[in-house]
Amino acid sequence: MKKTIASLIVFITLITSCQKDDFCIDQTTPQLIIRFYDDAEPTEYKSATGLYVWANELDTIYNNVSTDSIAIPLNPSIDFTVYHLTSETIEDKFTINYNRKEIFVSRSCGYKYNFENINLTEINNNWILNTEVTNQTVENETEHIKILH
Amino acid sequence: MKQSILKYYISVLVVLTSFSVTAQEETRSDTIKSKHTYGLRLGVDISKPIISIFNNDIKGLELLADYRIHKNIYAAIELGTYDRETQEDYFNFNTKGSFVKIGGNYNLYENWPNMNNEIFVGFRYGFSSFTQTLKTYTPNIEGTYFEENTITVNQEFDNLSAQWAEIVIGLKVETLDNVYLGASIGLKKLINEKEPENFKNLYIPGFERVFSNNTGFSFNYSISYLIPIYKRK
Repeated sequence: MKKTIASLIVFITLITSCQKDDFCIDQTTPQLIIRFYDDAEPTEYKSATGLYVWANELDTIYNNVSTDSIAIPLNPSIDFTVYHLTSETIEDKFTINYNRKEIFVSRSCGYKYNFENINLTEINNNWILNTEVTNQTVENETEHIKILH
Repeated sequence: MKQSILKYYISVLVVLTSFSVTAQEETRSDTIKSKHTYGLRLGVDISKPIISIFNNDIKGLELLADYRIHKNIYAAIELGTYDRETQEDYFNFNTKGSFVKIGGNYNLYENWPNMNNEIFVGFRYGFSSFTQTLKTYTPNIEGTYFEENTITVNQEFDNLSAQWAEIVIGLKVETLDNVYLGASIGLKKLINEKEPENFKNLYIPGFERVFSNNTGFSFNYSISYLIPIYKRK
């Protein structure tokens, strides 16, 4: 009995001497999801072709792709992000405005941002014919903005 | 890293102490009956000041006392303060407060005549009152498209508290007359806590690190002095 307890003390002390590192596996700051629809048939997805996407003064995120869905990050340092979308060499841009809200996730993940009160301003309409904010809160990665073209 | 080395040395000490205790037990004889000393034992945890020397971010003090109420049963109490800076990957914070643990130990060790060593198991109810201060954080953003800025918050969450249950296993060896060296480990489970808004109690004074399933672990290494009050068979 005494030996058992003594070895238990030793065992547990030795195990916990090596600290376990934990890794962040929870979802952190979500990206904004834009889906492309057909302006003639507003319930049907329609891929944008030859698509380039970039934020003001930064590199492109999408390079000459054809897709009906894009995920773009929002600038975590300020309350707006200007995005440029080019399809088949025609350029449009718009400003995405939002409020940032910090949310504690966990020890290993720290704080993430959710974005609230999403709205679009200064929209060019060259190839983009219409836009609609379908979800004003970016807290997970489902559709937030509809672009009709 | 320094802390791990320290823990390693303490583990080795625990191993050696337990061997010396079990070695004595092999040659036990129980023909002579002796009197047992009863009294109040006061001590201090010496691991915390040692940790403070190696790690300036942790400051702690823990005082302990026990009183023998029956042949093998001791009422026990621990009191302490704790002040710790913690740097995590995406934020850093300070935990500061005090704690008390009340309970008892049961001695499983049968001594030689005139020896007063213990291998004990015990139970504690723990209570802590503390403040967490979130100092800075860096929002966790996937990818590196936008630069991440570290935000200085210095937000204080005060009037926080926690209660927990704790199982203690340890030993105490009388090394000089009435002077005891002790080592113990505590396994803890939170019963309830008052949490800060939009933050978490990641460390609690007396509880130490709060693991994801609300369990905790701590050790102490103590030196204590027995004030003898009376003797009994």
